[in-house]
Amino acid sequence: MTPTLILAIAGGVLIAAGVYLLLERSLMRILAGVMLAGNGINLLFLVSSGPAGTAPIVGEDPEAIADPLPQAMVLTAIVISLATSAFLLAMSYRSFQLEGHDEVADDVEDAIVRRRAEADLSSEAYVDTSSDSDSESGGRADSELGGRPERETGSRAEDEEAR
Amino acid sequence: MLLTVSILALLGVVASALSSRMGRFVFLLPAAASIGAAIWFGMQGPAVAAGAVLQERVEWMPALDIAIDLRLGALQWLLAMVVLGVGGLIFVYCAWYFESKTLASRTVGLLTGFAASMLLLVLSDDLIVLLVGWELTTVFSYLLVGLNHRSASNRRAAQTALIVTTIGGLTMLVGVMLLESETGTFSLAATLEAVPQTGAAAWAAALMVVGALSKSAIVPFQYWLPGAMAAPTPVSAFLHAAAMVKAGIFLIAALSPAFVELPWWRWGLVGLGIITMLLGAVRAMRQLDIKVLLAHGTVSQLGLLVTVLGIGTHASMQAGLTLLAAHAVFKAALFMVVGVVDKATGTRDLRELGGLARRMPLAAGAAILAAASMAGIPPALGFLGKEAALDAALGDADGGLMAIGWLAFIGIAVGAALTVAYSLRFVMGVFFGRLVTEPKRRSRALVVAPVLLALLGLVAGFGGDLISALLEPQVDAVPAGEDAPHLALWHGFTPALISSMVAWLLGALLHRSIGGRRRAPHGQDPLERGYHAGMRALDRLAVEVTGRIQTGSLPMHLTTILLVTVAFPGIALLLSGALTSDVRLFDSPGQVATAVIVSIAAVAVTTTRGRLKAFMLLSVVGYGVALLFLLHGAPDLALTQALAETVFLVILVLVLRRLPKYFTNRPLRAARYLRAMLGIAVGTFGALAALAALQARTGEPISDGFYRWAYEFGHGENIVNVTLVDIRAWDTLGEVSVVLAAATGVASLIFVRRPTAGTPRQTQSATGRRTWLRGAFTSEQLASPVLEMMTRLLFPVMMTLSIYLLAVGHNEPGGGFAGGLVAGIALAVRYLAGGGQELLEAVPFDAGKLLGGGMAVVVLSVIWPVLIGGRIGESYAIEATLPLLGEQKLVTTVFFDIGVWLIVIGAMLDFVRSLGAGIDLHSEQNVAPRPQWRSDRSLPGEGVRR
Repeated sequence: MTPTLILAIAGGVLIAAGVYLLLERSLMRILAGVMLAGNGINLLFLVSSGPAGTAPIVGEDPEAIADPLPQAMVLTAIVISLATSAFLLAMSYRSFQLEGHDEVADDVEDAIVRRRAEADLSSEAYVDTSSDSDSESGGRADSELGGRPERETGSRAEDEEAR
Repeated sequence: MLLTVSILALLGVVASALSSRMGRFVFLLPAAASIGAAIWFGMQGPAVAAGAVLQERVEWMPALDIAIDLRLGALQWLLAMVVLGVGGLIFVYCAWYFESKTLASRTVGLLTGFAASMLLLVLSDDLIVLLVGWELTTVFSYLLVGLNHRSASNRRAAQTALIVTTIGGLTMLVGVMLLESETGTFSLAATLEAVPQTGAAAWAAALMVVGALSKSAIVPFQYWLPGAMAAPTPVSAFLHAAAMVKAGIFLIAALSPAFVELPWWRWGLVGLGIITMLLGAVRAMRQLDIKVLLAHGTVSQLGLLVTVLGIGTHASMQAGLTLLAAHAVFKAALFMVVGVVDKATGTRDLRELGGLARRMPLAAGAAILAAASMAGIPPALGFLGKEAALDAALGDADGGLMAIGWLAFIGIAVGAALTVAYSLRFVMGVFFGRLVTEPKRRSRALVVAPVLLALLGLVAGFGGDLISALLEPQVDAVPAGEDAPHLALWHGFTPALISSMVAWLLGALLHRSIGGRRRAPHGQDPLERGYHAGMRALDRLAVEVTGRIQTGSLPMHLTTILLVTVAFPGIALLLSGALTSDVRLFDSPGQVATAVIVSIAAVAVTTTRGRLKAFMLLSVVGYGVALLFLLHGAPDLALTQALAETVFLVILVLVLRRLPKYFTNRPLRAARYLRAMLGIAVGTFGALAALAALQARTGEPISDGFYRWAYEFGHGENIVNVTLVDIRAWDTLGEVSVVLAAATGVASLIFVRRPTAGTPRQTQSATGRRTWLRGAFTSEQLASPVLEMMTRLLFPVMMTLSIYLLAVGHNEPGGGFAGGLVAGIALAVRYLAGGGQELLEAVPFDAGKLLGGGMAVVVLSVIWPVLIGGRIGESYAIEATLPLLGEQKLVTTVFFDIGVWLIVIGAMLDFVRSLGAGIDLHSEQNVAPRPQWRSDRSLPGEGVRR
């Protein structure tokens, strides 16, 4: 089948403008970018579905109707876009409420990891398993579990809790 | 057999629950089950010894040729007896060992579950099921070692044990898959019958042996076992002495008939076995904690087992299996004695123990008998095994395998001397000499199990002929060596007996010279250090990689994703030749005009700094796209798009009133050009991909049948709507879930802490103003009577339109989405006319109820046909002639659409209520952002609590 060039161009322009805005840090402009790109992609769905036709309703000529499947996909996409746009809008508002601007800052956790990498440190979650080898040293021992006295009280406390 | 496994597994599940009623005596349940099963297995002994093989089979995954295939041969019988017999006694012991109810209830389930999975492991003939049992024992071991999760060192020990044995288990899995690719079967028995003599099979064997070595704590994996002593003593006795660590030995014994002639098999196993044996024994000599002493002893003994089995002859198989049984019996007894001593005195430190023989004669007797078996003193079972092992090594030395035989012989003899020495250290240190700690309490019941096991070890020593007979089928399976002589206590003055005697003497001397040392052990195993260094290096690598590729900057991450999209699929697109010049320029002149306007508006959005202006241009794009939809022949899309655009405009304006006028500007000009270039690249790629998608199409579109299906199965004329609610209903279900989540998200972002339900009702109209709406503004300045009147008239009309769209959607453009959006606009109008109060009048309950109710309707309408014997999502048409309306057809999928409609209305309500009334509330409370005049900034809301 033959695609329609003008729709593809319009879709491409919308996506290009959308991507340009998407790479911003201001949430509102990102939102605009998402919406533009979403509209562009919806147009490309039409391009890939073939030529324009009549409405896909039973009763029309089956040969002349436009492909209904991409239409069903785009229809839900429209509503989802609306919902996610509203969500981004609320996020942007919240950001203004808290910070006075809506710029997406660099992720703090990632920055911590980067600093640790620069300082040649291990991760925060890493537990050095080699430091303590008390099972090797003399058995200050136990009644029920190998280890320290504190755990006896611990399990008793848990007993209390269970009741 | 399957029954035993199932009963134990079931007990494992229910035992913890029962423990609240039975207390610690709940352990007697698995004890009874194990001992009962052990008796049954014992009765199968004669048949198994005669070479019979018991089989039970339950299909599991026939397509993959995986079955729960239990097979009881001589080897499996021996292991099963160990698991059930020794295990049963340990369960009895547990009943008197655990005092606290919490610990008992936690342990009993895990320990019983372990017994079940261990039994599955040894009985399974299917290698995949065997691996399942194998990994289950690893998991249970991890949970039991980490039973006391409050202690950091215990957690670490548990983690080390888990990681080391899991690495082994995964290696083994690879081996099993590789073997299957050679043999075409997962059955162990079938594999052993026809072993492929290929390089791949040899590799498979090597990988499986690695798994075995890690499980049985053989060098270079030995360090996890002493750490695992953090588990309670009965657990150590069962898992880390008698049963679990034998799994690797079991596997080696099972595989050796097939692979013993591989060039590395004997050298590798004997070599690693001897190293492990000597290392473990030397380290055992230095321990002060008697439990850890025994643990190193276990490592040493496991090394001995691998050495003996590694020799790979008839005689060595017999000796190895005898030693395996002997070790399970005496080591379990010794651990239980440690538990007894620990309970009585409160310590396991050799410096604080001594002279307990008089105070605890039974325990001392059990310990002496068991230690004698360990040291290989006649007439214990251990002596029988060790003599046979030495004999086997020598026999090998004579029979053409000179070097290995001698190596094994010397290794075993030296190991025996060291074993005598640490056995003496244990017995003398605890039970003889000066009394240091007076035992505080004694429990006679606790001593029963170790005494029984110790006696068993003694009696079995006289049953050499019987043991030989029982083991014969497995012994004969080994292809090498002469016929094994029957086990006996007295063979005459053989070289084996002489070297045993030398070993006793040397061991005693060694004990005299250094056995009295009480210095704390120091220094760490280099292999263990290596393991920890490896773990640290892995963590460092993760930090470095993450630090480099995950910079945390959103634009950077997106750039990476988009660049990859353009680079790889883009290049593939250009090279594939899917693109042709076969295009139609346009469908209609109107399309061209609209496309041009849309494109210009889109580009204009990117250069606009004013917030409102940009979004107005965006609306031009949105409505323009709706027009393009219409021109393409998609009235449903055009309708929905136009409605969605309108709704968005309304909520946008509601938010924009509290935001600054201008966008934040990005100062870097160069970055701007780069972004523009990337945008153009992505846009071009998208357009070309869409063109190519159609040009390269070779198959018929799947939607060709929709025209017919829509009417025949979906009973509707609007094909798009039938697609949504029927043909692709699962998609729609997922999509409305997204809508629901987004709506809830919006509400929770605005009403951070308070529920979304409305504000308390105020009394009507303090000024006495007559209004068109019940919830209208009370203040004259806010109110607009014209708008109020229009709303009063418009709202019912719009709601009727909404229901109309919903009702006709199945046959004409419309449907739940469009109808819901119209209702949303109607609600927005109510809000604009009278504020949050009026909205509350319109919908006096929480939007969550609409969302949740709608979801329930959607889900029910998908699954209800199952109740009347249909398929999920099936639709039915009911035709009826109604008065006034004439002949009407009700299609059941209309309920699905009603659910969608409710969800969309709920979402719209959430949007308007949150972004409208919610922000109003913020303004009143002074927590809304305060935009600066002619600026891109605003001040944060005053007194906003984060």
